[in-house]
Amino acid sequence: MQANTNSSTPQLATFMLPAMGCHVQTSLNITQLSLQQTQGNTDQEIDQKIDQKIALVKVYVEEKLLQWEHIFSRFDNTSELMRLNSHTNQWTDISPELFAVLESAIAFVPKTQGLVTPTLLNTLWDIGYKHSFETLAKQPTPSVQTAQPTLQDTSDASKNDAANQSIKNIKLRTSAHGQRKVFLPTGTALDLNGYVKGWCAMQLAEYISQRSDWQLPCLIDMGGDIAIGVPNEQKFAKPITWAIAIAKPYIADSQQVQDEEDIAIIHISAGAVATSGQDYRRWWHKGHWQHHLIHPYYACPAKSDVLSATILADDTLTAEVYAKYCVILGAKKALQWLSEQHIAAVLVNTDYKVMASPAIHPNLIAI
Amino acid sequence: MMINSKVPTTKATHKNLKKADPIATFKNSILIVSVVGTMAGWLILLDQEADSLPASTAIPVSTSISNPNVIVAQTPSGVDITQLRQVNKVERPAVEAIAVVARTRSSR
Repeated sequence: MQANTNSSTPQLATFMLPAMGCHVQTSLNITQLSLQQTQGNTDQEIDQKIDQKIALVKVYVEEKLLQWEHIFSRFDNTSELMRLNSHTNQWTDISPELFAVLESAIAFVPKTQGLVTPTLLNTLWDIGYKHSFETLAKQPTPSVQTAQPTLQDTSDASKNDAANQSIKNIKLRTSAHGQRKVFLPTGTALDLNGYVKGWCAMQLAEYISQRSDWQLPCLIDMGGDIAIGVPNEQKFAKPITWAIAIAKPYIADSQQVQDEEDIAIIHISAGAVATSGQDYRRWWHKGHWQHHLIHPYYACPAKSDVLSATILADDTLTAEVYAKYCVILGAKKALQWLSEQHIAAVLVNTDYKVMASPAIHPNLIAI
Repeated sequence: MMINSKVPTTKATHKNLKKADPIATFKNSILIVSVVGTMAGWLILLDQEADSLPASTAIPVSTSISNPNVIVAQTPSGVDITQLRQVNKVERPAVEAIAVVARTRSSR
């Protein structure tokens, strides 16, 4: 845990936790907390009280991450999601958390022309993403090379597909007693990884800053999907501004760029930012490089001239979905769509050219 | 009451016109020279401005994408982005005290 105690700058307490296949960063702005504790207390007592609160927050975050991992993991056959996937063609009781994420995921299907859909688990398995990313081959390995589908332009959204046919047959309902149920048609398998981190980040940020007694301004970063928590009383006061760097995409199978380079720095006071790309989660399977952004119409990794997309939105799940949508769409269509929708975004194409939508300019510190 | 407004001075007026005041003429000459000089000065100045080189107001941003609503910002090759960032930070005092807290990237 690192607490910045310089009185002239905002005081931050930051802790990192490994969870859900990524590093989860929690940063708490404790400036106000320090001021509240000063009356009648020594410096040591103030530090102790602050540390106690931070420890409570950390315990809460750890517990929630563990709970959500048991619900959403697709690498654990005992998780609620995987148990649901094995109970198709029947109504199944599900937790409010799984219901909420699935409901959001389904709602985004028509908004993204069916390009971002939660029904791609079977396709991910077919291209070798059956186990956690850390265990996948990161180097070309001698193996039987199979024919890869020819992908000249997977941004063509005019075709229909099986994944979006099955999503129409998924049914959700809440009983009179508040019990949530879902009906998965036969052959449907859900993967919610493209939604869960964003949803979890926002849940944590809102709880720490609003729904708990802590009322702490905070930033939650779940492997690059970031949520800002703003206490209720602060919404009408001068907002706390958080500066966030947008990392340069890093292609694991090339030596072209170094890690930890940034392409831009933005600042936000509320809401969320998320990045999706075909750069990091790449692996070698059956004689080809694969990545995790699947084009549902072709059931294979999307071929796009967008290497990564960073989106600002009111919540992290939305930012995450739209970032993925922009990568699959391709630069030209994505920039057109971002401009029409007034969405703040930064795209990096495969030539490492940085492209910013007009709406992001108020948030840009440097590019 | 009737007021006799007839002015019997026709002859006298003509006499006055013929007999012009030399001081007034001198003043008029100075006025004319002054006006002409001022106009000539402006014309020279305007002519000089037209001859000056046009100032470039173009923003150093590449717009290779055809969509006119979108600005494409590209870091020129050979330029250190750290330097550019420092310059931009100085130009924006409202955010000068903010330190980068997190980094967004493809999910890791």
